[in-house]
Amino acid sequence: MISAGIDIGSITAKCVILRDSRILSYKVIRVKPELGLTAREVFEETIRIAGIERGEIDVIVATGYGRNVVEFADKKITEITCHAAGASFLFPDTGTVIDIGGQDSKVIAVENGRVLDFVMNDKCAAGTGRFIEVMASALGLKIEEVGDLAFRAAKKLKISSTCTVFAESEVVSYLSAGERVENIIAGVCDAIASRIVAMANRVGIKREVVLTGGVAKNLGVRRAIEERIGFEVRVPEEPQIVGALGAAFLGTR
Amino acid sequence: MRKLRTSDRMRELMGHYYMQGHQAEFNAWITSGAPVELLYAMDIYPVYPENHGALIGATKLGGYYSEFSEKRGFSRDLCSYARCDIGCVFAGTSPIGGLPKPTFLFACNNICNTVVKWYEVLSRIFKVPLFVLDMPFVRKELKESHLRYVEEQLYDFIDFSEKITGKSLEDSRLKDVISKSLEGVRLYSECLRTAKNRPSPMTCFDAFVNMAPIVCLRGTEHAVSFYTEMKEELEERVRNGISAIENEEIRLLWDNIPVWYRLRWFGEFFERRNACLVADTYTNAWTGFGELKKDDIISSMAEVYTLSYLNIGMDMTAEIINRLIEIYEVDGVVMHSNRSCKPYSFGQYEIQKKLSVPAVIIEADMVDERVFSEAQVVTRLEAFLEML
Amino acid sequence: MKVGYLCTFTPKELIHSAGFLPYRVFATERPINLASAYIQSYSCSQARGALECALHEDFYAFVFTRCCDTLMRLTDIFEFAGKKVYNIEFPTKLGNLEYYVRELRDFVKVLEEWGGEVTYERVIESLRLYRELEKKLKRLFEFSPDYKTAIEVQQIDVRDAIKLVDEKIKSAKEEKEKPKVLITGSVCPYPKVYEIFREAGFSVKDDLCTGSRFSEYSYPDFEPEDLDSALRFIAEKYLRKSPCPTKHYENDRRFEYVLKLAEDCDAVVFLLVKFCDPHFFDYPQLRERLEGIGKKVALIELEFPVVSLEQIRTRVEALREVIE
Repeated sequence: MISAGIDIGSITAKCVILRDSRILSYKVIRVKPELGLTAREVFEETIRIAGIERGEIDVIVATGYGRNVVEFADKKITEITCHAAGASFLFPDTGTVIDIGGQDSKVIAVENGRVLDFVMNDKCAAGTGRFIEVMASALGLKIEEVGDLAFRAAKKLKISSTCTVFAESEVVSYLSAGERVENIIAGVCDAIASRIVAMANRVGIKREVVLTGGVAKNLGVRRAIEERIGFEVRVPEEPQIVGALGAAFLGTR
Repeated sequence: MRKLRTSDRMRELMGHYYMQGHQAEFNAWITSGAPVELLYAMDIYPVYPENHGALIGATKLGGYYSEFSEKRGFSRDLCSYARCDIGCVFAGTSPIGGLPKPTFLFACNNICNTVVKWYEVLSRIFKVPLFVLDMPFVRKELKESHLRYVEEQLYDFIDFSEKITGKSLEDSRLKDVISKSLEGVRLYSECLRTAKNRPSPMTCFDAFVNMAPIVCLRGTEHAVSFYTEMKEELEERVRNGISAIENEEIRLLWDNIPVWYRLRWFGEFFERRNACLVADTYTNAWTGFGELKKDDIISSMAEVYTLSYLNIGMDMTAEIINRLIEIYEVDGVVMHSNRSCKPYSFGQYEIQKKLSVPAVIIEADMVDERVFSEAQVVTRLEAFLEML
Repeated sequence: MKVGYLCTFTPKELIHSAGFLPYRVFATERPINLASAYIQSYSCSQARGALECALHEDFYAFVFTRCCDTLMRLTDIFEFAGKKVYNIEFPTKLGNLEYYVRELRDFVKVLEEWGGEVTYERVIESLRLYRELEKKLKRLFEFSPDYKTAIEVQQIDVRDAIKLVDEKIKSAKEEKEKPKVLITGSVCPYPKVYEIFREAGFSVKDDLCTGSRFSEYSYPDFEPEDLDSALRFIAEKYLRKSPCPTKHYENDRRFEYVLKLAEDCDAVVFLLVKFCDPHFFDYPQLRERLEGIGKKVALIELEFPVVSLEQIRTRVEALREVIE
């Protein structure tokens, strides 16, 4: 059985093709204003990479913020259920999924691949990829540099504000006081981790904890989260496609 | 800033007070605006979670303890006193080792409606009875009907506590406690009034640090002797021309609950700019309890407590502030827009327009340091001082 | 002449009997701009939205019934903004009937000062009309909850409201057996939000002031013989109203009430307005009790005007998926 999962987020669109429980292909592209078109594009790209025809796909499942505009999908399932399924597909003993996207973040309590409880933050920039973007920019860094730089920090400078705008002014104050960039960015990573872990505590943190979403690739944030919860987290090779993977998997059931 | 000697005495006194709580036979958790004289007259030890909250703020652990209640689902938008207090209960400890388990809870809503919800949460956790003293909000004038309503409840409360403790409220004992309460409030008010002097021998930060006894020990000999001492020290300063800050050029009034985790920071900030916060509306609120009458206790208690500073309409509030501006001869007002205290903060925009001197509004929270933006506060205060 | 009010504990029967139109003020689609100059942003958007409405539309006066800190201060703020206001001190602790009857007597005097005329006959008539409206609304909701109508009836004359509900009952279709969700909270004056629940495959039951709570009363069983006993009748009616987080009850009556409502539901959604202290204080312990009886619980925090339906839809659909 061949299934396709399409995840239309607010910044990126992802598609995963599954055949007999093995990933055949996947693709991540930037979302364009026309969501329907974006869905078609990422889907067609992914089947092209897999080397199969549209007609060979048995079921197409859409998820994510833009799922309702994917007209050619057979089913629509929320990204919460899909992330739980996708993470469990990769790590069968998943207990908690922490998804940190560019504009939102969520924590899902999972048991045997099913959602027990969830909490979402889609109103506030703090605790999302946006927070890192703003701080990195204030420090003149590229996002890709953040992880390694944080790793080299001798200490973490405390950023106490919960608000992104206030936090940015704290970062700027540290800079003008002559503090080292790596120590500041380590503080930034810890600040986002603190927000995330506080959110996670509301549904309860159970092992195994799986980190997904674009920000999962950031080593600094990952380490800061691990330090706070006291154990290691699992990160998929491609953390951004977990939603689409879950969608494809759920299509087969 | 010159520290008052009496502050050390205060710490000793309050330390002793908190310790006593763990040994008391009966203790009641009580809100800051409730008639505590009734408890002291029945030897029921009063615990003040709000004072405890101020302490948590002063130790800069507001965010830390709040997380314990946030983890259980309590929203960060709720009053930080409540969040931190409930958080300490879940944490099983606090900067002073936690508060003793209550025999019962006593919430009076003359400071806000939030305390009723907070104490409901506590009554479910501790599974102890809660008595709510419901005081009508006096927007324009105090109605006879309202007084009657409160009086009836005061008698209900006496019945309630007599039943729980098996003790009875003796008239003579109550008269004695009221006398001490009046004496304590009189001395306390005289201390605050020494700030009329130019230069002032104290700042409102001294008042904040030393207000705990009138809040928690009002009605006891301890409050009387403490404020006698403090008054002596202040009068000595006045006699010898000793001022609280080096160089007093600007006199200001503070409005709202203090930013407990930044008392020293604010004090130093203003001193560097030759500004002295000579008075404030928060500590001034306790001077109102001096209107109790020894010969008509329950009736005057109903009136005095219903007319508490946070339970009156904006017209009256603005009038009181303008009177303070006059008495203390201040050049401006610093208004703390406190996220955690809606009754104290909503209306500030309007009151600002009714004041006889300029005012600035800074945004923060009384106990949760995660909400404080130093850059924002500094910018606004500096611009304000330049304006004066 | 419209007399605006914000809380369902307001004695609208008296307002109507005096010859005014009782009009429940809600936040609308209008973005909140002018109101920001009067009150800080950490006030709930229902309060700010209502103020915004008051600053743009024509009202004769406003009545504030004591319920929470924000509304308590809002009275003075409205007055400062040039509006005619009156605050009724509804007791926070339910039990002293006489006290509230005295409050109602004072309110009648105010209505008369405003030019209204309150007589025994008119009060009885208003009581009768509102009772009829409540009965019919309850019937309509038994078929299929209609939030658009529940909101509309709070802003039009009671006789027109009855006619409207009669119409709706005629064309109401019974809902099929579907997983049931109890929506609890204070207000949500946006019918499109309730549609999301239906579209997600739920049948809806509610504990909201923009829904069933408008008609949930337990009437006293005496016949008022004069104006004063009519006031007593109204006082009893409102003291027996379905329990609300802004009031304090013996024996945790509010929690027991919600638990009972949730019995025949699969899930409970707390649809709360950001900064609503009374509801948010209740939430954690009430949630625990609901989960204790096996209900799936979700929290949706709203701000008005509602701009992103997609965020709400995701949560509601996810909850539906959890139940499957």
